[in-house]
Amino acid sequence: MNILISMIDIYLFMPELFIIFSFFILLIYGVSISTNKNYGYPVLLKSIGYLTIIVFLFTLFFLIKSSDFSSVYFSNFFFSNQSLKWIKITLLIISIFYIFLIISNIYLEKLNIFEFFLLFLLTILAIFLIISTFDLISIYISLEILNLTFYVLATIKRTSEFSTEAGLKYFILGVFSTGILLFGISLIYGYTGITNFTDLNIFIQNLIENKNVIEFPIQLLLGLVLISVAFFFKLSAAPFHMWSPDVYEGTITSVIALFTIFTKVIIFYLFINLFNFAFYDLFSIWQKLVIFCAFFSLFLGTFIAFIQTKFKRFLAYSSINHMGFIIIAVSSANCNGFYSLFFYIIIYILINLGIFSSFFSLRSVTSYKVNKQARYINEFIILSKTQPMVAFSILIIFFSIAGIPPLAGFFAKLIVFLTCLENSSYSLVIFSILISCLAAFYYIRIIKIIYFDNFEVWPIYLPIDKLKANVLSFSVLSLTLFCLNPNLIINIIYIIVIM
Amino acid sequence: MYWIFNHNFLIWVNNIPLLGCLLMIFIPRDNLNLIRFISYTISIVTFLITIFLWILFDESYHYFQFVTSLKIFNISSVKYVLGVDGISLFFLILTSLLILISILLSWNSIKQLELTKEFFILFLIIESLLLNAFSIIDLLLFYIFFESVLIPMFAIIGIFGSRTRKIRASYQFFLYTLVGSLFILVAILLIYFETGTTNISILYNVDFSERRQLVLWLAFFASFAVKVPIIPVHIWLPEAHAEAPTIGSIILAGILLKLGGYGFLRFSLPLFPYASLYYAPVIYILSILAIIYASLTTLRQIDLKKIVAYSSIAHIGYVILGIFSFNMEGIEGSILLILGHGFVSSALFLCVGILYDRYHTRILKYYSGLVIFMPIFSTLLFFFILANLGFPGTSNFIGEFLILVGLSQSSALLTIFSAFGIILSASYCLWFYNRIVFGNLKEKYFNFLQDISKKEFIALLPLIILTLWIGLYPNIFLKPIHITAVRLISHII
Repeated sequence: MNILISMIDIYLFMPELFIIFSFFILLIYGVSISTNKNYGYPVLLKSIGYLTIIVFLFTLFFLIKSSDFSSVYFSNFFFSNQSLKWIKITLLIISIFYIFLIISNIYLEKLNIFEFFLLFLLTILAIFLIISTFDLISIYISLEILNLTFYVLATIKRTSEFSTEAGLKYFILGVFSTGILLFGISLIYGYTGITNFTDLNIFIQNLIENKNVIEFPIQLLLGLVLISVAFFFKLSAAPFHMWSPDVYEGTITSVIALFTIFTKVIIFYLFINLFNFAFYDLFSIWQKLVIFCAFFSLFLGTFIAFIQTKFKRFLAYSSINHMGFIIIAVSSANCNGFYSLFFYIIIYILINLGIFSSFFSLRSVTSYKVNKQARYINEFIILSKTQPMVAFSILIIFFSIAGIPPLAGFFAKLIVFLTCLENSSYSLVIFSILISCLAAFYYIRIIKIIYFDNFEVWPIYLPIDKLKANVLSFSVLSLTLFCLNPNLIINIIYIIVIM
Repeated sequence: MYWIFNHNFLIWVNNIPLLGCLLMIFIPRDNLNLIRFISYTISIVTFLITIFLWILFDESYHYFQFVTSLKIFNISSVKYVLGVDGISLFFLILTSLLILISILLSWNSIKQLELTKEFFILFLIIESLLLNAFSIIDLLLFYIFFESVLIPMFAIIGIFGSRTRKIRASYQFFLYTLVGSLFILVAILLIYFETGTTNISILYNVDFSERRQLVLWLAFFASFAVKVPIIPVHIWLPEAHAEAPTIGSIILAGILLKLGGYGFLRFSLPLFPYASLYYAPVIYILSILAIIYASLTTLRQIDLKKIVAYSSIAHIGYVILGIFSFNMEGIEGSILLILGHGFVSSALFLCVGILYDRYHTRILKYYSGLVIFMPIFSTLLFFFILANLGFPGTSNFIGEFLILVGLSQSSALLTIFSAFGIILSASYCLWFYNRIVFGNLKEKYFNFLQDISKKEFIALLPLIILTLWIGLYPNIFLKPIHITAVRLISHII
């Protein structure tokens, strides 16, 4: 009996359903009121922002109250289990922080489009769908929802040519990569006739056991490579990273925070699902691909970041560098690797929250009610005297990125190295250690610019506002106080991952 | 009184400075006197408690004493366990004494007065990190504390340094140490992966295979060699010393260099005995190079601080020779020389700092004939110059003598070379002293001249007393080290 949609599907899909419904309600609310002549065409940005926070809180409530059992639903298109539930909860909390971060910034950027938050709601919906996919087709569908919202979000500042150009680049390259993804999926489907992960797993196992093949069929391999190419593109890992510096530089900073914080966790989870579950037995093939990307990302990310002068491009290359580290963790197909990956991503998200909240606060005042976001690294100058607390927070965040003990970033790198050593890939470890030494230099250079450089004209910045300060302090405190009891967070993440 | 005999008090020793930092955060910035007073009392309290450690130390027990542990800093099986044995006892006392003296000295000499509070907070953080590093019985946490000292030192050299080259110096300091330290991280992870623990008292009983020992020893060596410093990675030391403020130099010379020596004694020798024996000839060559080359380079320097910095490198060359001579006299001599060098080099940096405070220049050319107007200072400087030489009656002599005795048992040729080094150290020390103190007074460079003040004299006094004490009756210092050194050697053999 094939029932199309049964009760269990609705039950497991409840959080996403709630998001869809609330999206529609908020959309109707936004459109009907903001174009209403009687109310004076109000700017609904902040109200919709706060309403999305309430939506997220309700979804959290739904998630926490749902029971823990693992199953597949929607006729084996999606799956859900306990660890997925906690990952969704983590993502919701991070998105609440993200809204805190950008809500006043969007006002200051004069971006009075309330659909921003609605698109963000759709992003979260797409994220939930992506991390619970269990089928090759639903990968494509959910990834496309995400991609579409990201393309629109990238060009949301319609008055800026710079932003439009960056968004267009992202759109064209993203569509291209989705095409490659579809081609890979269709190759695999064409050869095997199945798209479900479990079925693929069983198929490949049988292929190896029964036929005792020495060479794998070329369609499978090609499909694998093309799918991973599409994933690496989304992650901005080398050598598919060309879009990220330009897009990062052009798009407005609020959206860049979205790109940095959210894409990594979902694409990696998807990667792990696909490659560790469906293609597990082809491990010897995809491990080489992954290690090659890791080497290349580490190498490129470090060396090009040396000569950057604009902060957002610098951030893009440093995130390529971090992707290199995380890809090292992916290359080991065991539970420890997955755990170190997740841990690194959590710390990376914390660091990024901190970076963006401190970077957003650098709006230089040029005249009354005209303020401009700082763009160049050199505009960080003399921050130690104008805004000492923000400067100190930046110090802690950058030392943490560079991997200096006793801050949290060091522990993240430590655990990644440990998993790498367990797989006896010694040259990878030594290479990544040398690279992180080099990387430490340009992070410390920013600290040097903040604290040690002198300039005749002091740039004056607006003081940081309360919500952003909350996010910044949360980030900095968690990075510093992490060393006091690392066991706490490590055990929590380990339990989540094992489930 | 019973709380002293309660075994917890090592935690207090290490973390009282941190409590002081917490206290100081809440004091407003302008209340300079209160800040200085609090940091001063905290350092005195820490020093007194470390003296307690010495008094209560049991000299006949060769394992770790005062072992305590806390439930913080726990990462899977890495636990925060503290313990003191013969080797680390004197490092702890040295650290707290030097920090006490530096805080006493920095009463008025910080240039940016509005950053006084940050300065003292950084200082106390460094003290707490160092005390933790010297007393912790866990490899990974030792590494964490060892490296965490970089951040405050970077800040101190960079912000409170005295010349514009300070940024480059602090960069060099930071990056040299960082690169070296990442290799030791891999080695620690390998050890953890192979044995499942990073607790030193367990690891002392583990035998690594010989090939693995060779690789791990090299990784450890990479990190300690930069810290010590061993030629050829010694370049950061003169730069960092020349740019750092006086107090930063005292901490750098007095304690941070000892971290490298401590690392060799605590980790490289006991954990990898075969590899230490294997690589000993390399160490011998590098140390003798250090002694001779550094001494010769000193003769060409024009910056007072760089002279003392290079003489530091030369003395540490002796220390490393002593450690790797693998007998009792060598190890005891090296620990004594570490202590002595800590006192004497810090005192020399103090004296140079006194000169710099008054005349704001460190170039040798401008100083001459100081004895005419600064007789007390000249006497004290003479005493410390003699101590630096290795004059009998001072701590350095005992240390060097024991090291030479130990070395002669390993190889007679090396002893000849290192004894030659003593002559060279005499040459640069005496020439340095001669040029500054005697001769004609160069009036045209100075507007006023003032002898040493009471505060500086009191700061120098403990160093004088300790140097003489170790020099004349070293047995008190040697006894605690004795039994631990015995265990170390017997393990190697």
